[in-house]
Amino acid sequence: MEKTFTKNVKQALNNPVLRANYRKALDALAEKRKTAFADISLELPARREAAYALRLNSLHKLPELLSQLEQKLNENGIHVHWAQTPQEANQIAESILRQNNAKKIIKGKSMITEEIRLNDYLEEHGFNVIESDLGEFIVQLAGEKPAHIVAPIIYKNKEQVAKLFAEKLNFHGSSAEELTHAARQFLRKEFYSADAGLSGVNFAVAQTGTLCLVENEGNGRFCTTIPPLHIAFMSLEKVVEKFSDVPLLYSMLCRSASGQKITVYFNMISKPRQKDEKDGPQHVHLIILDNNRSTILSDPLLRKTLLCIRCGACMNNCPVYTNIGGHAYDAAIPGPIGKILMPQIAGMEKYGHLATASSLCAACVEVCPVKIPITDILLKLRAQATSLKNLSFKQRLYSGKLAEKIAFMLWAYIFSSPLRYKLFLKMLHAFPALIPLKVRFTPMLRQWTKTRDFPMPR
Amino acid sequence: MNVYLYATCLSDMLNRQIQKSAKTLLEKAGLKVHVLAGATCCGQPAYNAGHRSAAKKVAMQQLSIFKEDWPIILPSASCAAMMKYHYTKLFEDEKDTFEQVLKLKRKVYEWSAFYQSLSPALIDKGAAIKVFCHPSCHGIREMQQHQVAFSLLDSLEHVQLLHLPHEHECCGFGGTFSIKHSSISTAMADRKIDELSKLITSHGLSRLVGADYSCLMHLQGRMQRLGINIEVQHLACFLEQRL
Amino acid sequence: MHESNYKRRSAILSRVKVALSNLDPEQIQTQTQAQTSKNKLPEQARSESSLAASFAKNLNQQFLQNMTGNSALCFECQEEEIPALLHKLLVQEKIKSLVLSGQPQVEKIFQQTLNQAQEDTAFSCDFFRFENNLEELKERLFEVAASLEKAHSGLAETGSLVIRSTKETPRSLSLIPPIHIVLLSSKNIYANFETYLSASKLSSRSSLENTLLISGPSKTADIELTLVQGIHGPLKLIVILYNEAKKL
Ligand code: SF4
Repeated sequence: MEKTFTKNVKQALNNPVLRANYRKALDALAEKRKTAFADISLELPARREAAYALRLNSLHKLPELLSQLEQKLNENGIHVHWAQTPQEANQIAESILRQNNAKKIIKGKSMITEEIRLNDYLEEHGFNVIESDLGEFIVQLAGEKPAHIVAPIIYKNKEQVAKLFAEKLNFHGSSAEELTHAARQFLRKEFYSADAGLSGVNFAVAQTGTLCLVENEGNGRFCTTIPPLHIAFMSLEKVVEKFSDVPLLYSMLCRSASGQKITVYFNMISKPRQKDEKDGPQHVHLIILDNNRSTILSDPLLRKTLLCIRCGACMNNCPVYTNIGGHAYDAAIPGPIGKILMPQIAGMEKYGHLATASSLCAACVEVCPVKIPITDILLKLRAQATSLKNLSFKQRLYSGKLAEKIAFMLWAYIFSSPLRYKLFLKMLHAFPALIPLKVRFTPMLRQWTKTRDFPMPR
Repeated sequence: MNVYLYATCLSDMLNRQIQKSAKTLLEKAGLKVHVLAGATCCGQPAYNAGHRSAAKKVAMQQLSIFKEDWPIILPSASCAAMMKYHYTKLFEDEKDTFEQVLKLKRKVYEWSAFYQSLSPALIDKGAAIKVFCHPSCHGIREMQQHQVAFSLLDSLEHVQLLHLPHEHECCGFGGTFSIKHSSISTAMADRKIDELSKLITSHGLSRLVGADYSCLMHLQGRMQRLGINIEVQHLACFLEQRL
Repeated sequence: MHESNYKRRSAILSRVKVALSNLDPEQIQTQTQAQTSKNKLPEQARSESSLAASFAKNLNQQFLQNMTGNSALCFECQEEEIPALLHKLLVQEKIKSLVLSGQPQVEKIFQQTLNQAQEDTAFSCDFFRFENNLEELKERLFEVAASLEKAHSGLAETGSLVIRSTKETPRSLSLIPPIHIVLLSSKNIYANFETYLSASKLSSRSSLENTLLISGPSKTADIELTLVQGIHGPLKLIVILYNEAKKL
């Protein structure tokens, strides 16, 4: 996996168009966020503190809140399903769709369905799944993966989208407006005829049994209003305690994500179509996914990974993400939050290397609206990753983990004794002429001198 | 007033002038400076790489050297942040040492902030010069005092401090990150250097300074490789030359 | 299926319980913090709103300003003036077909509009009421040019409409037609979301109707961050804020 990452990084760094696309878009997003908080800049620290406390509070009360949520939803006629793994979640969705005879499925943007690779699963099982968020629609048309949790096609420019539309939709146009309206025309037909709508959930309110959905385009509303069946997906940490918790979190999400005071739509769903109502889905289901989150919860620090409200501010402000782009991570969630979340939900073997790909500059920590200590969590994951337990001898050698461990043991041996340290300094300074040679034969430092000169001791 | 100066291993190994200048300036401001004997490294390289037992071993050694209850001054924001904010995490499970760690935490200061708090006389004897001051991530986001270096420089009569639009962005050093992910680290440095080059050609920038030598070393190493020649100096050295 | 769902549920919940028994030193502290900060924020909001309420006019202005900022087309008038305004708008926007909510007030106002428009021989506008189920009306709904309904309330601070879905105001009324026309009484404007929630007691009720906040016509910036108005939801949002006629 680390190899794929290294390869992806190399490719991305050698692609000037891609890097320019990212740089331009991310600088703009970071700037928008800043402006969005300008009117409340004095209050911002208090609001972040409050948002953090609210989220942490709901994590700590999770068992009660989840039960309460389930009970309320049941009372309101929404069916609740529990899934421990992605596989289970996919199977549950499949069986609900089959029971309702649904073939054509229209989907709103949802990161959790990326996490469980729902589209792949459903298509393999003969369903027709159509993404309806403009960005996700374009990603699907191109046969690619989203590169950002808020702006899926941030890596593409307009010309690339125009070319895609010409090839796949036989639509010829060039401005963002023309392309957007072409997608509108195309997707309207799909909304009209879909048998089921799928969506994610931004906040689930335990107190009232309400599923909140945040969006600008209206496709989320279509997916949850027009088809006769609606299936919502959420990971178990999305629950909040009270309705009065929602305004603050919602406002922090909007401002941090897209620099808006508020999004165009805030959809609070609590019931399927009632007897006297004229529209809305007759059946609503919610699938609650664990996928290792219950394990993450057991560590008081790591638990904070689950405070996330998926605003994307951490990636917009991340110098690593800006340079390598979202696809390099090869993960459902990229960027700083992905670096701490992916190793924990999908395994250290697969994603442990992501935790090392950070300079710990903490730009993410500075902007995170719920104050996730991302760098502290990275450090903890790194510490876990240095353990050689569970590794075969071959793996130890091959991964370089053993060598690194030995190097640091040696370092500690020298640096924990003033005497040995002095000796070491003497040796280092003794033959300045030999330093380039010493550097050349120190394997770790060779990586340094590939692109940088080594500073001569003065 | 007595203070400890903690030299830092980077200064010991690669640039002794930093500790010399840091000491001289504090003395000029009327302090009695004791360069800590027995100081080696704060343990940050191992800590950041996840090797906690190695980090602990070295950090333990540091805990044992502060005999007197004097302020401890470090000419590096990242080492200061390590002692001030990360020792508590490193030693969170060690009941016996934790008290000591908390005591240390209260005594740790970053050099430039401490120096400024002495209200030193900043009478600039140097020639006119344009400088850029790189604010380190630890200075900005952990010690939260990068403005100090700016204001010290701003109060020098013949020094013009230039700024960059993305000056808060990381230079890409990050300890073992610069080795493990050398290409990303270099790309990050290049972004900084791109902007710096513009200042050099269009605004006559002629020196890069900063309160963290690790970032400077990284940028300098990359600039030398790219053939960009501009003098790089730790803030303390720069100030000492002019005052 | 049902039984195994129950099993999965118990497995997950018991794992969560065990995991959380590992207490966070901060936990107790943040719990109290959460209490205080929660108490603090709405209170702040409340005081802001009571202040604002004494300047009801200001609230209206703030609403209009922010709603306009959200790219909605806004008008302010007296209740009696709505029919004339509506007539003008239907002509100006070339709206030839309209779907009405089932709200009696909307019905009445639209009748008055038609009456007024009688002299205008060039004027014609087909209309129907959202009286049947979506399935029966689907085709017409996807073709109709505009919809007309009255909003439950408005939020000044963000320029938002609160629309509750009821048998009279189905959800797709504000979703499918390309132009969405909304009437809003100036009596129903709240300072912000928080004040709306506490005033309407929604937050303490066991359940909530499906409710929507709408803050402008649908939009997207997915392509190169270029803002385009009108993607899946309405292309245009027209808001008529009116002062209710004084009852005799
Ligand atoms: S970690 Fe914080 S900044 Fe990043 S997406 Fe989650 S909430 Fe937003």
